[in-house]
Amino acid sequence: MRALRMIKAELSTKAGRIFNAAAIVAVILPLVVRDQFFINAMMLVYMYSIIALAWNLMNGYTGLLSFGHAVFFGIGAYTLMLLLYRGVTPWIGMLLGGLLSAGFAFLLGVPFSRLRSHWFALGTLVLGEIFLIVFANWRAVGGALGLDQPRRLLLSPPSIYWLNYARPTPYYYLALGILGLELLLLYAILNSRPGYFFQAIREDEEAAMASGINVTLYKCISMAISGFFTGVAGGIYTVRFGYIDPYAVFSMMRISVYPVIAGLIGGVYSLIGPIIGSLIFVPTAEYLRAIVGGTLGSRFQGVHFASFGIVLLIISMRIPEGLMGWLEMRGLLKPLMSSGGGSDER
Amino acid sequence: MSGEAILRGEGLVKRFGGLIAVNEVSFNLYRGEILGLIGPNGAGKTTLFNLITGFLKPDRGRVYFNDRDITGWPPHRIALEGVARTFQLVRPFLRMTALENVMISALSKVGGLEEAEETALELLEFLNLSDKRDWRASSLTIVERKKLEIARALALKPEVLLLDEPIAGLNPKEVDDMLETLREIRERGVTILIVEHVMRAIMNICERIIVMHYGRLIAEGTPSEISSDPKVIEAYLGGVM
Repeated sequence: MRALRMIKAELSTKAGRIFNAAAIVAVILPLVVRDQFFINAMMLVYMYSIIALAWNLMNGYTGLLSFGHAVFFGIGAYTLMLLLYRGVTPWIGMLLGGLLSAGFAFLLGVPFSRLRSHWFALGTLVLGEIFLIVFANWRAVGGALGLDQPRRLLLSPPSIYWLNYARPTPYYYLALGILGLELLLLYAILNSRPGYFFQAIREDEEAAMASGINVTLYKCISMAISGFFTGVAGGIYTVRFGYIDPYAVFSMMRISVYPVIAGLIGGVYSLIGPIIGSLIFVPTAEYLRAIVGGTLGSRFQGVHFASFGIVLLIISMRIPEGLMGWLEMRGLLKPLMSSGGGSDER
Repeated sequence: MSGEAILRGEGLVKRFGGLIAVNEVSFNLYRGEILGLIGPNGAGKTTLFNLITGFLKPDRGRVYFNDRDITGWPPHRIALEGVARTFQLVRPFLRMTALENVMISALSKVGGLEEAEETALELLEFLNLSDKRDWRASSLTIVERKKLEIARALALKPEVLLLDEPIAGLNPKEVDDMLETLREIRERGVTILIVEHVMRAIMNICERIIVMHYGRLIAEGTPSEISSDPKVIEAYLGGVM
């Protein structure tokens, strides 16, 4: 397997060794740290990393900027919840949620692949709001009140079959495991034919067509893969919190915009950039939200969102290629799996 | 004319609002030749290219490739079928290396990365870009980018290559190199349709030339016939007579 050989080579570089060490720390973290709040926060970081990686397959690698990933997230979250009511294990629910989301994303790609750059972004933004409104008014799936997990799950003893634990550690490993799988899969995809085609589309759609690439098809494929993992992340949310409502899972700010910011901080031209971005941004955002919402009081509601805007402004002006791009440019670290291999004689 | 037409246009018409960019254009491209397409700015040459390669759909008329009607096919299908093109303003994949640029096209034709890399390396060698294989396209000069674009088109293993001003902007030495390259491409069995403004070059390399003016074909012939054709002279000098 070419991909496996390449991964081995990547991991033997300096950046690869750092990555290895980080992975080991991530695995043993819950054994060392007993603080449940912290473990829960890290679980959220991984969940957002899953979304941010998926989002960046579209944005950083295919050139499709989405402000509507909450749609895929919500589809995954609702699918799992509705299947729980039919007695289906969340493992199957998560997979089906991802697949349903992927199928929807693929079909969405047909009309949306006609939308260029910011028109695509606007389309996804509007779509997210449409889903929010539809689900908030859809009685059969709980309407604005959302859905609680079935009562018997709360009453039955915690099991791996139902994933109905109270403590965050199992979900921490669930999210970490899925993130690892996603990273591996995306790495393999990006280093094979579709990966090259995605990047060609990002660079120049006309030139991609002239190179024999079915641009619409490959946009749809990119969106489907992205939709799949985002849907799975929605499933993680459902099993972790046991309660979903449209304002939470179809939230533009909390779901759709988070991966955008994480991606931009970490660097969209690097595979692991969005993970680094999530690692920095998610805890900061949650912390800010806690201070602003809790300590400063409701008068300052929304101030932390404004501060995100300032952060983004500074990043796009100072380090437009994000942290990983900045490191690469300085030659400090050849980032893992950056897009476009070669040297750039700047 | 001798030989069989590998590419044919029949009565092609393309309107943009009130403007008729291509007006009843019919042409034959014969297997193995280098056909020049010239005309003043705005004559409709690039539009004709876009009609042939599927980037624009003609309002009327058909395009045949190997006697197969390819009118209205999507661009990628036409490219895979065997009609490759370059762009007037080169459009390399800037963030990707020279090698990757060519590999992408090669991957459209072959399945495996290794095979695509082999094809790409051979073509980079052919166009004297081997030492730049790991450079990003954004770091290449204009000449190198033009060559890269030709390599990318050749990676599709085309039967017909449409070149949109591959020579414009090159210095005399580079022009000679490019002409040599074009001849070698023809020797590889690729039929070439070339749009160019640099007359010295086009007169030098083409056996046959067609001339467009205001969307119409106004002349067809050998370089010497064309250069003495009063209609052509008038088109270029703007109707002095």
